[in-house]
Amino acid sequence: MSYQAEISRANPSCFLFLIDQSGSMTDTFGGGGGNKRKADGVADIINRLLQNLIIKCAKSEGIRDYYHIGVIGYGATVGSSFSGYLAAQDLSPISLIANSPSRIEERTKKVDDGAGGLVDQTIKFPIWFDPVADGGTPMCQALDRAKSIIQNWINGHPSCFPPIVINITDGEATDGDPTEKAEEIKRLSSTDGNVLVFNIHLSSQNAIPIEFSDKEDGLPDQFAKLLFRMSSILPTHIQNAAKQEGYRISEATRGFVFNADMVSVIRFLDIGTRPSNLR
Amino acid sequence: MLAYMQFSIAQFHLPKFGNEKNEYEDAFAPKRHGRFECNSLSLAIADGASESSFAAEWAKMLTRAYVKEPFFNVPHLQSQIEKLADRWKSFVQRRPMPWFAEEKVRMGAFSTLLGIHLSEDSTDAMQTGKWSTIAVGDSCLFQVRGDILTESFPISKSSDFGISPTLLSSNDSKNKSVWDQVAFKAARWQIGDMFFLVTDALAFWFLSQHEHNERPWEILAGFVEDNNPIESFTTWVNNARASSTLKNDDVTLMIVKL
Repeated sequence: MSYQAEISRANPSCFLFLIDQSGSMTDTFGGGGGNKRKADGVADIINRLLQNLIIKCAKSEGIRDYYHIGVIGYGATVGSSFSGYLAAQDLSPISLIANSPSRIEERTKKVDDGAGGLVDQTIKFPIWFDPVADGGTPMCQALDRAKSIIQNWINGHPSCFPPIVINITDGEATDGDPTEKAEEIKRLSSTDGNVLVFNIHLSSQNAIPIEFSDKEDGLPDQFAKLLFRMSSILPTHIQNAAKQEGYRISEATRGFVFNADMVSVIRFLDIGTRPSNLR
Repeated sequence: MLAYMQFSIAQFHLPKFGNEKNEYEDAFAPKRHGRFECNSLSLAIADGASESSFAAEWAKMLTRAYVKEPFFNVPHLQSQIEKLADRWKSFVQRRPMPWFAEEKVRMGAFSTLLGIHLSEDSTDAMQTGKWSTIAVGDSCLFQVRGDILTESFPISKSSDFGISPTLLSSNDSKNKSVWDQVAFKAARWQIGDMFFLVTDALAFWFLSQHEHNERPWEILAGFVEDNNPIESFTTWVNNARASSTLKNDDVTLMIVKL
């Protein structure tokens, strides 16, 4: 059975994020409404994904290095999007990333007050990445880079829970068809199963956000369809966890979201007992 | 001369393989073991959820509170949880924390709770009595009489263990869905009965074994009689984990023999 490996400090897994920083990301995106640019959406999503992953690994004594993380930006150049010493590594232990945001903002969110109402709560929101939009969309080149990073990781961690690559983009590659490049990554495997490639599509289309999809029909445009095809089918335990949270999931559901953030995937990762009333 | 209920208590616990001793996040109370006499007895175990932080402290607080004053109904449990949650908050917020620890603490700690209160009948020279139990989550109580498993609570089939139990939280706003899932049960004991309080990994093994017509309680009770109980238990758990018959998780076992 695949995707059963225990994720632990002795046998960590890895996440590699690919973020589209091309010039087309200055366009507004449909899902958020208003004038939010796709580049703002990408920055917001990657910061939020990192925040959620780090909080998931936080324990009383600090951060447990269940994951190593890399972020590759692609636009005018292709390479690590981190600055400072994190940029020198393809993948860094999650504890290093937790301790190195470029700044920490305070945001207000509405939370349940436990008595049927909502109250404002100030939360700390770390920022690692600011919006960037410059150059073409060398997605194929980014996927090539990802393949080499993931291959190296697997060589050093042959029995790890399979690495997850999350590509955040508007889907408009300028250096060819990325389909085969994504397939090459998906063919890599640890002893526990094939590498997973998920896609987050930020589109200018003013269509309803889609969180996980099991068919191409009905997706709003050709870029969404392309990214859907490039995405791995969700492993069974992730499908089950998503079902338990009320998502409509079938055996064909893929790791693809449209104008949504995929933060829920972090919740579905199994690193220990997760209470149903912790959301 | 007053006659009291006589019983023996034994406890065993082990952290998840790969974790340090101080990373054990289950809890149990009381800590005393051996043979005792008294007119009532309260015991509790709790399994702090590994996805929350300061879960071990929360689990400890729950077990100690139960043993001090058992919860027999939901309103009583609710009022105690409110007080304990405040105590947990002041414990964890003693010093400044990095952003991620602050956010994690805000979410609260989560834990199961399984408590049992035994008392004697005043009329029949300590041969029988009553017990009542409370359960939140998937920690289990087994009552064995002779060769028969007479009670399995709150889970009676291994297939009923889920991936995401509803647990007691130190963040009271997360407990709304808990109150109608608190399970209570009361029944009777007689002399010779054994009670096993176990956290989920061992409970799952116990029920799976029983479903295959085995008598898992004999293995567990055997550790109490062993010359090196802790060492035997540890070796057995590690072997069972290595052969994948036991899930790699914190393990806690309390045994009461009347």
